[in-house]
Amino acid sequence: MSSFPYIHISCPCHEDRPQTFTIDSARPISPSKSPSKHDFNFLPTDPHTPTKRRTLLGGFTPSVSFDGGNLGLDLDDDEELTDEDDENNFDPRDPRSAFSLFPIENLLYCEDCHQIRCPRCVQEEIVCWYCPSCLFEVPSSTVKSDGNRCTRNCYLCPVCTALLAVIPVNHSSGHSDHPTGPFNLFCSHCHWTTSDLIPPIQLEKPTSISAQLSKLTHSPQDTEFIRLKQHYAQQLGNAQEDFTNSPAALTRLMGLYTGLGSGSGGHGGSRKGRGVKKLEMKEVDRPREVNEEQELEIVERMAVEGLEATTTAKQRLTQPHEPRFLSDLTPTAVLLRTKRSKRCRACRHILVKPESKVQTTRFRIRLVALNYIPSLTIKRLDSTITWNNLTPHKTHRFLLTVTNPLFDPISVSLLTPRRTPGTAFASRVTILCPEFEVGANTDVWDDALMSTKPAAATPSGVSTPPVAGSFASFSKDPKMSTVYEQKMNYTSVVIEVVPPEIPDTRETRIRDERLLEIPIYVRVEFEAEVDRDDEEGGGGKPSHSGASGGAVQRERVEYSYWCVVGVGRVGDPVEGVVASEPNTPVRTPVGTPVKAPRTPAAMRTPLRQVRS
Amino acid sequence: MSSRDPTKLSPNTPYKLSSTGSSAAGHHRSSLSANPTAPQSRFSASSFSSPGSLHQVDEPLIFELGTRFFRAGFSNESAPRCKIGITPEMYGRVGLKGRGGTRMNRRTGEAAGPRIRNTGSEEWELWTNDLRLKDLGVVEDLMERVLREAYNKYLLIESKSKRLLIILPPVFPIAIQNTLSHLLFLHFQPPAITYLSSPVLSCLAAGLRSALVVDIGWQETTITPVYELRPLTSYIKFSSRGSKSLVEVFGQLLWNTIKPAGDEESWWRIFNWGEVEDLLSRFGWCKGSGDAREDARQRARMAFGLPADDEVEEEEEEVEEEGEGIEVYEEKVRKKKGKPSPADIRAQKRRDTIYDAKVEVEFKTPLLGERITKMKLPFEAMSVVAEYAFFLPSWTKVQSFGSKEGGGGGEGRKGYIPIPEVDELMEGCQGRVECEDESEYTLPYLVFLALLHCPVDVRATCIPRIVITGGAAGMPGLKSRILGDLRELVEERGGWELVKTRNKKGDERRKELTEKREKGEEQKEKERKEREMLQSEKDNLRIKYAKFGGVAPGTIRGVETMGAWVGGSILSGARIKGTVEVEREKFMSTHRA
Repeated sequence: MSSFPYIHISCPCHEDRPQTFTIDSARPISPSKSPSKHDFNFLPTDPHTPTKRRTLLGGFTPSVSFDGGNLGLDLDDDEELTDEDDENNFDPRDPRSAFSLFPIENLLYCEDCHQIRCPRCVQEEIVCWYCPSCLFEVPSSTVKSDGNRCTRNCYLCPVCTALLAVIPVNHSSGHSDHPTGPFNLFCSHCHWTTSDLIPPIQLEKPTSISAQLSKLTHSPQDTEFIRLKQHYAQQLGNAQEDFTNSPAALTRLMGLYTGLGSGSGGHGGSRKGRGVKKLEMKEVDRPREVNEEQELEIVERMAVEGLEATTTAKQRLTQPHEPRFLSDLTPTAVLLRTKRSKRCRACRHILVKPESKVQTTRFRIRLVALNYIPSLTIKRLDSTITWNNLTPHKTHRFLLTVTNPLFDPISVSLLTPRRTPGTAFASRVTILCPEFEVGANTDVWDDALMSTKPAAATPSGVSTPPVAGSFASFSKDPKMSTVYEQKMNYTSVVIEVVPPEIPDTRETRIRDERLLEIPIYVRVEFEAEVDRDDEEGGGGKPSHSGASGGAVQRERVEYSYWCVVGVGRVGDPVEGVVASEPNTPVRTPVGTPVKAPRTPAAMRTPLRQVRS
Repeated sequence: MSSRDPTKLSPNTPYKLSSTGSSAAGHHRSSLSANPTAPQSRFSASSFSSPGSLHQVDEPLIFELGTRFFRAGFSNESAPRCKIGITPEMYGRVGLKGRGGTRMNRRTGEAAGPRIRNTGSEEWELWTNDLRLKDLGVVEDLMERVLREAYNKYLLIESKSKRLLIILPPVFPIAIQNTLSHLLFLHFQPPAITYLSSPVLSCLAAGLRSALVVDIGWQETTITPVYELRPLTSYIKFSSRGSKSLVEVFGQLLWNTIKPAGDEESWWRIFNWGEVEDLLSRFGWCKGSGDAREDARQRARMAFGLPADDEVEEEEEEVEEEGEGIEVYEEKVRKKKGKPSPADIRAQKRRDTIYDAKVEVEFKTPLLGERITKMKLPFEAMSVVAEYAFFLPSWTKVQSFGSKEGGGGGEGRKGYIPIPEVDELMEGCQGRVECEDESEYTLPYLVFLALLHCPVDVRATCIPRIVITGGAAGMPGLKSRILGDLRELVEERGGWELVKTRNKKGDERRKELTEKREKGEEQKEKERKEREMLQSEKDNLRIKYAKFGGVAPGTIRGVETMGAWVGGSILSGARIKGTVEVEREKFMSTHRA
C-alpha cells in the first residue's frame, strides 16, 4: 500500500497520443463513465482540447489553452461546472492516466523541447550488455549468438530466484582451497540443489557451468523441436532440389496465405513440378499422439506428490518449457542487463548517456527532470490530520511547497479544478495562492546565510511566515491570497481540501472512491540565460536576444504539466462535522477565486523562445 | 538457398522486390503490402514470394500475443525467451506500490487495479473481445508497457533492427491490430511486421499440414480447421468456454465452500484471481472419459431416484426405462466387470490413489475475518472444475466443494455436480432450445459439430489430426478427455450424424427379431459373409495405413503440438516469409494524416 502523500507528474505525451486515432473509424467511443480527454481529443478541431504543449510550443493564441478557456468561464457563477471544464481536467482516475503518471524521479527533461520526457517518449539505444551478477561485459556478437542470458557461471535458483553457489557434493572430501568434484549448484536461500533434480545434475568442474549444463539438461521438447526442424528442412531441401525453377515449391510447402502452388503467377513452374512425386509435402513421420496413459500418469504423480511438488506460475514463466513439477526445474542463467542511452523522441537529442564501462555508474549526460522542473511536496498544516482517514466535510489544510531547482527565479501558477474530477464524490479543492514566485536555487553556503535575495524575490506582502498555530486568525486576513512561506528557493502555499462524505465503497465494489487525489496543473515561467549550459544555445543567441527586447541574452521559457497529489483517503463521517448546507458546497473561508486565476501577461507570450 | 532472379516474377503480383543493398542495413525487404489488416485475407494471385529474397532476410523476432500472456523470442529456438503475464500491477502507476489506485480492497482500503467489470478478470487481460466496454487507449498503453519490457528486459536488442513476426489468435479485433501496428511502428520502429494466425502455426508445430486446431484460449475456445496449412476461416467455431471460465468456476466453487449464508459477495473480491488461477494451473486435472461417464451415470440414477450402485443385473432392467445414453455406460461397466486385465488393475490402483489424495490449499482472504483461509480439498475435487467449464451444460449451477459430506466413496462424488432434472436427462442433449448457442455446447460436442460442418474431404483429413492447444490444454487429462468424449459421441451417434438416433439398440433388436422370422438360414449366412468381407476390407485398409505410418481415415486421433510460438520459430527459421508484410514506411505514410 502506498503511503500518502505522494506526487506524480503526468508526462505531456499523454495528450499527444490520442491523435493517432483520428483515422481509426473502427474505434468505438467508449460508453463508459469516463469519457475522458482522449475520447474527445482525437477530434482535431475541438477547441477545448487541452493541447497545452502544442499550443505553447507553436505559439498559438492562448485562448485555446486551458487558461484561456477558463477565462471565459470566469464570468459565470463560481460554482457552475460546465462540461468543458470537466473534460479539460486531467482525471487521475482514468485508467489511461496510470500510464502517464510518474514520480518525478522517473522523468527526464529535454532541454531543447523544454518538455518533460517519460520512459515512453524516449528512444533507447543499447550502449553495452553486461551480466548484473558477475559484471562481465558481454560483446554484442555474443548477445546475438547466445542470447540474453549470462553464458558464464551465473545461475539463479529456479525456485526462489536467488543466486546459486557452486559447492562440492562431498563437503568433507578435499581441502577447501582445492575442492574436488563433482559439484552442485546450491541455493543458499532455499537450500535447493541440482541434486534434487531427477535425474540429479552434478558438474565436474566448478567453472564454465553453462557449457556443462547445456550438455546435461536436454528436455524432450528440445528433441521434438529439432526433429520438427529437421523434418521441415528436409522437405524444403527436397523441394528445392526438384524445382529450382519453381518458386512455387516453397510456397507450396508453407504458403500460408497463398494459393496451393497452383496460383496463376507460378503456373509454368508448378506445372512442371507437379509431375514429380516429391512435391507432395509430407507431414512429419509419426507425430506425437495424445496419450491418455501419459496424462493419467501425470495426474497420479500430482496426487502422490502433492501441491508442494508442483511449480507456481511464476516459476514456470521463467523456464523455457514450463515444467509442471519442481523436480523438472533447471537453473536459470542470469538475465543480462543493458546500459542504454536515451534520446528524445521528438528532437532526437540525447537525454541520458551512461559511461560505457560496466563498472562505473556515472553518466556522461543525464538530464533528469528533477534538475529542471520544480518539485512539489505536500505537508500537513495541522498535525491532527491523518492521511489515511480524512474527515468528510472538514476543511483540511495542507502546505504545498514548490522547490525550484533552477538558478533563475521562476513564477509558478497552480491551477486545479474546484472539484476533483472523475468521481461522483468530488472534493472541493482550493489553492489559496495560486500564483507566486519561487526564488532561484543558489549554489551553496554564502547565499544560504543571507536572506536578502529571497526577500527581494517576494512579490508583495508577507515575508515573515506566520506560525502554524496562528493560522486560524490569519485566515481572516484579506491578504490571505498570499503565500504562506517563502524562503531561498522554495515557496509554500496553502491548499484547502474539503472532502465530501463518501459512502463506503464496499457497496460499490468497483473502485476506491475514497481515495483523494488532486490534479494540479502547474505552469512555470522563467527567464533563462540563453547560453546557460548548452552549446547549441550559443548559436541561436543573437537572434533571440534581439527578440526579447533589450533584455540581455535572456529568453522567456515556459512549460506546464499536470501533476497529481495523492492526499489521502477519506474516512468515515465524524459526528458533529457536517456540511453546512447540503448540496451547496461549503465556502472556503477565503473568497479567493481559485480556479482560473488571471493569466499573467507572460502567458500571452508563446512558450519557449520569443520569435521575432 | 539458391539464388533466384527476382525479375522472373510476374509484374502483376502485388509484391515487388527491392534489390539487395539498395537501402540501409535491414531495410531491404521483399514483399510489401501496406495493408495491415491482411492476415485473414488471401490473395490468390500472390502465390509466391520469391525465394530469391529469402537469403537476404535476417531472422525476425517472433511475438505471440495472447490475452493473458505475451511471448517473444528469436527464431530457430525451441522456446520463447520472454514470457510476460498480464497482471493488475501492469495497469498501475510506476512508483505507486499497490496497484492502479482505482480499485480497493473492501477491508484494508488497499488500492487495486483499474476499473473492473463483470468478474474481475479484466485486469488480468490485455484486451477483451468485446471492445465496446474497453478503452482502446488503455490497451495501447498496456501493450506499449509490455513491449517495452520485452525489448528492454528480455530481448535486449535494438527494436529497430529486427523484423517482427506476430502471431495472433485466429480472430482478432481489427481495431486492436491496427493499434498494435501503429504502436509498434511509432515506438519501436521495426522495419516490417508479418502477421500470422496461430492455428496454422500450431498445426505446423505439430508436424502436420492439416489439422483441426482446438485452441482453448483464455477468453474463448476456437476450433479452426486447417487444411494444407490454410485456416478455413468460415468453418471456425467459437465457444466462450475457455481458461477464463475455468478460473471463474474454480473461484466460485471455492467461495461457495466457505461462504457464510447470505453473503452475496462475488468470489473474485474474496480471492485473488492470481492465486486461484495459480492453484488451478498447478493442480487442476481432468477425469478420463470412462470415469466421467460413470459419474454421469450415477447422477442420472440419482435423478431417477435410484440407489447409486453398480449392480449390473439391476441396471439391465432399467435400461428400457432410462432410455438411450445410459446403455453405453453400462456396456462399459459390464466390460470392466468381465475379467480384470493387468491394465485394469493398474487403472484401479491409480484411481484409488487419486481418490484418496487430499490437497491442502490456502488463500489470502483479507476481506474475510481471518486473513488466510485454509481448505482441505479432496484431490478429486480439483477435477470438477474442468467438468463445469467444459463438459457440463452451461446452465448447471455451480455447487461447492463442501457439499461432499454424506457417505464416502462413490456416493460422495455426487456432491460436486448437481443432480440433473429428469427432464434435462430426457432431453439428453447438448443444448436447451431456449439458450441455443455454440457456447452452450460442451466442448467435445462443439468439436464434433466443427468437424461435421467441414467439407467432407477436410473432415476426413482432420478427424485423425485433432490438435488441442492453448492455455488450458496443459491441464493433464483434458486432451484425452475431449478426444474420448468425441469418440463416444460418434459411437453413440453411429457416425458423423447431426441427428441422433433414438433408441438405436431397441430398433436393432426389433429388426433382428423380424428378420429372424422372415429370412431363412441361408439368407442370413450370406449376409454374415458379406459383413465379414466388409470387415476384412476395412481391416486391410487399416493395415495399409498403419504401414504408411498414418492412421485409417475416421480414426479419431489427437496430435500434440508444441504451440503456435514454436511454429512461428520453425517457420521463420526456415526463412519462409509471409506473403503479406506490413512495412513501416508504407504504414506510416498511409496511417498518419
